[in-house]
Amino acid sequence: MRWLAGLALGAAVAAPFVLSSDYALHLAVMACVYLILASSLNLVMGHGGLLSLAHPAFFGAGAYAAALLAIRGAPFLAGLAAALALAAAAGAAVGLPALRLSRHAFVMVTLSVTLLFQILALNWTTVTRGPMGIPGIPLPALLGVTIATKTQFYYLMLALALACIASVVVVTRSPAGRALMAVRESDVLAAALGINPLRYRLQAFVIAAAWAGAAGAGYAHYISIVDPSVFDFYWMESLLVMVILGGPGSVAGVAAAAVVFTAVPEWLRVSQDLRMVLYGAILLAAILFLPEGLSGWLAARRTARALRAEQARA
Amino acid sequence: MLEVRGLGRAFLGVAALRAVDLTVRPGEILGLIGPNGSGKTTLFDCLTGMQRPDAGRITFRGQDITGGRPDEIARLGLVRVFQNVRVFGRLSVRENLLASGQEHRERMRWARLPGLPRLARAERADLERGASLLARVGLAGRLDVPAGLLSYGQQKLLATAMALMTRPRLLLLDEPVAGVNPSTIEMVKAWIRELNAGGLTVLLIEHNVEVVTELCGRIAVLDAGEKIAEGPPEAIRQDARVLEAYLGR
Repeated sequence: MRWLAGLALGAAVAAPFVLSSDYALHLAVMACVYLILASSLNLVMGHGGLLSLAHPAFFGAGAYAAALLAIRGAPFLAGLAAALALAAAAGAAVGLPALRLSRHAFVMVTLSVTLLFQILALNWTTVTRGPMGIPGIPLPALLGVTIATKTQFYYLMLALALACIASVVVVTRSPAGRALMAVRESDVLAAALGINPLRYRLQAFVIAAAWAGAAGAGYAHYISIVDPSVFDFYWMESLLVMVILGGPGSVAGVAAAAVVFTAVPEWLRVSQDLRMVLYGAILLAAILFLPEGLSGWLAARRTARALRAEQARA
Repeated sequence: MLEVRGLGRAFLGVAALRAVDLTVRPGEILGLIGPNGSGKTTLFDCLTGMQRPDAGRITFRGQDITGGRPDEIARLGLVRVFQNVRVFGRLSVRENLLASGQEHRERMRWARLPGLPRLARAERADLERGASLLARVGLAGRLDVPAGLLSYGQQKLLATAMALMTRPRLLLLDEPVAGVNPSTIEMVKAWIRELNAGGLTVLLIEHNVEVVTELCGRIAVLDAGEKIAEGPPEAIRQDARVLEAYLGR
């Protein structure tokens, strides 16, 4: 597992030297955006067991925050920090009431939040310019270096993605992550043992929202325009495919799925509309046949083998 | 240790508990018996904050906990083991034990990041305690098994071990030997006695009359939401109202 992670990291760092076309580099940048979004959503969905459809809302909120600050001349890091803070605050504001609801109600509320944010972006024209969006977002500068080429953007987003994945790993290996998974298994039992379910769910929800906001900031600078399509359901469906097929609760599985499902649809050259249909079919099949994703299926096989070995010894 | 005064709880006008008074003294094993539907589990729910009583007061070690949050009550040292088996099914036995113990350490706000020596020390100590609890009930060496893969009886033992990981002052046991095989019943009985000898106060719901009379110094009897008797086992056995509640008129 460790050498596999090292190999993946090496491949990620070397990617710009191997990828020949601009288009391939573009996909690599998008893979990093998806890595941040899927890994952070995995904390909520996989470790927390909460199906949240609000992730695009926090992503878009971060994108708008960074865009609005950047066109007014704010430095990139200030915009990034603001995007992170705004998304975290939105996460707390949504999570605090929504996490008290039943599982089904939570799904509906988080879906409504994404729709609401899109309506807000479309109609609050004095700030967001509505469907016209905010064009002309300047190139970010970091430590005096202007991030201009796709390769530079790639390394910036890769750094963000690695920081995100590292933070998810730290959280899941900490007592807070253990509490979060215990609450996922049974909130009643967890509470009876002194674990406050709301506290740990909210923590995870806010951390994930903050990372979605950071991804939004990076994305906004990269494509240099933000419009209400950042809240499109297309994002949500892609993220669901990545988390569910990668295996909810598996950091490596979801990371791998994020890269694969950024690249594969592009190579297959399917149109966006057809992709939505295909993703829908894949999701249905995965939920029916692989409810714990590919990595969950592999882990179950390992456990079964270990149990058989134990029985054979006994 | 625990004082319950005038506790009432109704569901849609049907009284599940009616003005129940109950006192648990430090160091004792108090038995709680009664026919099915007499309100025993509802009483446990009220004590641990999982249901809010409509009337009455619950005081635990001098502190009013009426209507408190379940996790807050548990952190005060009032911890229950459920009747239907509950463990964190997809987590390993090790993680089950650690999760149970971790909210009950001394305040360590800044030592909650993995890799910090203080956290590692605390977890090692917890794990040692957990392993010795497992060894006591014949589950040694099962630390890496997902808890959901243990047998019913083993899960029940693990659930009790998890409650003990919280270092409770008062342990509420809801039918600890229901559905458990005879040799395990003997082990659980000896275990409860041992824990009690070590200073743990126990409030025990149990249908197995033999187990209750053997373990408990005092027994309280609930019927239709009311406490109808309380006293040493011999007196309870001969109490006319108790016999009527169990056997009918």
